[in-house]
Amino acid sequence: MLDNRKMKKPDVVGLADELRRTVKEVLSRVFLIYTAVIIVYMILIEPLHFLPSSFVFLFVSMIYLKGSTFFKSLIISAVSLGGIYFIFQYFFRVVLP
Amino acid sequence: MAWINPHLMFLTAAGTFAGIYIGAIPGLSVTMAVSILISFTFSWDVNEALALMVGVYCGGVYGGSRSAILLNIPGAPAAIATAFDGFPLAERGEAGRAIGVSTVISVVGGFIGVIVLAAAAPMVSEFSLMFAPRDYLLLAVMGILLVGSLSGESMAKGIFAGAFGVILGLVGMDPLTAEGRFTFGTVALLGGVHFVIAMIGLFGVSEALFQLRQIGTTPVKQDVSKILPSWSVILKYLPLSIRTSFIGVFIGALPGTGGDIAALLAYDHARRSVKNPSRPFGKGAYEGLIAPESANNAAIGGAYIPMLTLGIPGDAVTAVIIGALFIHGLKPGPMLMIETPHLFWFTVGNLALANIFLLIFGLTGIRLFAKIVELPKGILIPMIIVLSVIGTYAIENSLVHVYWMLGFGIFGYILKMYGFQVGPIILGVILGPLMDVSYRRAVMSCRNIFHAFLLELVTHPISLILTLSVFFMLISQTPIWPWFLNLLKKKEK
Repeated sequence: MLDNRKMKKPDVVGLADELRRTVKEVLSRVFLIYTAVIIVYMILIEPLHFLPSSFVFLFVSMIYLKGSTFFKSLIISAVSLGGIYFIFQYFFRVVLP
Repeated sequence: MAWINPHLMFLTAAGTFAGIYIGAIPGLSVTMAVSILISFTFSWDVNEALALMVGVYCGGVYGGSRSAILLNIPGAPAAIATAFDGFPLAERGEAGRAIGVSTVISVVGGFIGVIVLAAAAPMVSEFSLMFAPRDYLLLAVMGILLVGSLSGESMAKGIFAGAFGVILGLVGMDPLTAEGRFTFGTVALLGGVHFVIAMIGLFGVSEALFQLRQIGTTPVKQDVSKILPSWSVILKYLPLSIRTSFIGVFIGALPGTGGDIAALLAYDHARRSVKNPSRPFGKGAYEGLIAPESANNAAIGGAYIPMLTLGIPGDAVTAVIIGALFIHGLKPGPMLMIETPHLFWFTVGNLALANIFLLIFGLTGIRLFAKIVELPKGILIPMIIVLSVIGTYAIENSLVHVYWMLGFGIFGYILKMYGFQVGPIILGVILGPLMDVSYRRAVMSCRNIFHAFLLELVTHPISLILTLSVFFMLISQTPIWPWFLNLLKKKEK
């Protein structure tokens, strides 16, 4: 309660403007696009199975998030996925989707 | 003596090693790692799962300090105070020495934590047999209040998050009458919300989504060559590290508070008690590095005390580990020490072992380490998501859980945007059922007369102390408290 009272009033005009700004601030573009990418990935897991869909997901998101260059992303996704597959199949004995 | 088994020793070592890196990479947290690990270790033996988690926990708390020193980015919340003096040391080119000192001191703190755990837990456990259901209710309330008031920016937000977690924990079948609650009439919700899903979503995916905002930042390179500290340096700072270790154990043992708060308080203690620091605090004083480092590792041992004896987690990580124990069919609480004492001593041995491995791994492999810490967020975030998906899927081989997990992730992201902490939610989910059952039992034991229950809260000595501390915690956060203090001062004059 105290914190809310102390808070500065934001410089907004009316409710519509406030709503618009909040949406813009909280749901930023990178967040929306990336969430969409994750949802597409989850939908793809069932028809494509784990390895191909995760590879595509890792590769696409590394490019999109500018984690690395084209070829490096390709190599990193392949190697890390290989590592994940090996560890989970033999070490943790987990069933992959 | 199961912890000397070579297979388990290997798991502890692997956990510690992985924990150091997980803790050190900004963006991966110990809580995240342990919550994802739970679902991977479903099929394992309970000892194996515990060995791995204890290792990750110890390694992670220590690892966070590495990136705090090298990059001024605390890899874990427990390392926030380490960055105050650690990073100035790195700026002076003493990063290697700082890492060496912090490693040895962390191990000292860790061992003090283990010793206190081994000594105090049996006593607390025996004492806790005198606790009635109402006392458990009060303890759980205290845990949520503590984590709420100390972990976030505002107590109201913290308590809200905790209360939300409690409500989340209530979804599903009523434990006493087996009626559905908050299920909206659907069968799907009758089983309740699986807390591992909530954990992975809130700690894994929401953190990943949150970090999308800071994607552009690239860390600075650091040169680390000499790291082995000399004995004289260690001996010189030993008294301070022992003092702050005890602060760490105590704070860690309070329900709901963990290494982050212990480290901050220890730093504060060092600043007030050390008269002639090697350099001014905040500008590279070794004292300012040692105090939080010993305290946060000592807090690990402390956090295990209420978890193993009362079934009330000491911090967010132990809340997750309690969940793991539930899954393996164990019930943490006073009966744990009586029914399965080997498990307790196994944990103690494991913690000690993890600390030894910490010393070994902490002083080697710095070069590889420097490379891994510089991993860009663009690679890290997709990896977190893939691991979260595997982790959620592994619980019951169901893709529906994966969507639930994403839902929790997005929800956690929005909460974080508004300055809510997700830690109290998980504490609430774990403590919710405990509060529920203890409250109902307490009221039933007074023949369902509510005012008799209220009366019992103040007539029994243990309950009275707990009730008073809960009230004190609430009042000290409201404007009444400073007003009351002023009144006292005026009277003295």
